Amino acid sequence: MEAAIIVLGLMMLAGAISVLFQKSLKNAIITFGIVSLISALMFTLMKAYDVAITEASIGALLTIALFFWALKRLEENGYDEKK
Amino acid sequence: MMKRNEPLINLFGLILIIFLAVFVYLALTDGRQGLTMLSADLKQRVSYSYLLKSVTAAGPTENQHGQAEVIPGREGYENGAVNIVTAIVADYRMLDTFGEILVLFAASAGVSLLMVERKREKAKEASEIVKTAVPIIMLFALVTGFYIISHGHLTPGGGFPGGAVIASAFILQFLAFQKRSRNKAFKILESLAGIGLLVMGLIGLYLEGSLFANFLPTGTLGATISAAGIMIIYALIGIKVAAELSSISADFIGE
Amino acid sequence: METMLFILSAFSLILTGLFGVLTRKNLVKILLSLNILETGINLLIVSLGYFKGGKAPILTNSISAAQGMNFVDPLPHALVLTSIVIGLGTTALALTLILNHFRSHRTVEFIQLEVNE
Repeated sequence: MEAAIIVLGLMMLAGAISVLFQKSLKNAIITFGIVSLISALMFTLMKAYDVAITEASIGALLTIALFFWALKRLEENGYDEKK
Repeated sequence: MMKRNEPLINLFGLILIIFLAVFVYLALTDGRQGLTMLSADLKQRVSYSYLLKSVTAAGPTENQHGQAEVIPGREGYENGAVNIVTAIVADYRMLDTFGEILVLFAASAGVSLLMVERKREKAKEASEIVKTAVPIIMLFALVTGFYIISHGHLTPGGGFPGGAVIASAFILQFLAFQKRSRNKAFKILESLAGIGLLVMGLIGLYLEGSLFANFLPTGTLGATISAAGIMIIYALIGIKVAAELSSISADFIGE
Repeated sequence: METMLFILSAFSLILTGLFGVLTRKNLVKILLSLNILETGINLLIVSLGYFKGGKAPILTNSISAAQGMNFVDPLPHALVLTSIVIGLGTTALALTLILNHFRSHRTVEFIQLEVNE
């Protein structure tokens, strides 16, 4: 049980650090989705089932969708990631 | 104005973060009695009276030690919810939930007022697979959403994730069949649900003297239809959250 | 021991999110770091009510309150439910403001705005 918490915590930390130092925005948004989903798993390990289902459905579904729609609108109006 | 010096800003941020981490570590391990917040007994916390449903009066049953006890299957408790988190969110601390609904309403109104228009010449059609599969998936999503909302007092869930699941069904419809999204119907539904919630709070104030008080009869603890006040409140919250999230998504997709 | 591990992992997320808010210059990345910060804070609040061997706070036919008093604390769960939904509302409004900023200034990095006298 403690080994699972250590492994999940290290994965969350690695994902959060790689969100900061990434060049392309699309990869950063996908990695943030992974961090949010692992945090929902940690809520389940803490026996907090209401919070887990709320975080999985609001944090990992709707927030990622909002970011992708905004990114698509930015790219239509001429936002280029390579510059 | 000065130019941004990248490595210097990174270094300054790193020093600030290390300072904060050291400060928190010293504050946690320097207490007189050690880390008392980690090993506190549940009897010394506020949740003790929430668990025993004895906030205003003592529970009706007592075991041989003379303390109040809550047993599923009996009647006459303060609220009839078996799920204790639901009892806290919808009955004991309803004012915080009301503030959260106000924040969601402000966000939805702000997005609808400030959104930029989207000009694209022609939207791409969705493929045949998407157009065929979306009505079936919408059916399952709606049934799951209604189940999560209506069993909020028995199983984990409640109004907020149920509203999000129902809103995701509407999002799928926006993406597959690009008809012009009707925002007016969502706004009217959201306003009606909000007015219903406020009316229930005011009736509770008139009948029992405190805002959002529980005035409907609470049934047997653990039956499918019990805790009538909590069921009605969660149904209204579920409708309101689903309508707001669908309206925000329709504004973001645009056109 | 397990509570300490949960608190440590929550704190590492908080520090990472704070570093991202301080030092990035792309507005969308600042918003992503703010969301990581909020996730870390929610994890910290829920993990303060957990202890080893606790059960989920739902009464069933075999467990009733005051019989075994080893439920996890249900009060932080109620507070974090509110906090997650408020985080979503904040993110939606901030993305709208970023779209407006891009329309008038043609760039997504935060710039020094001129103030006309």
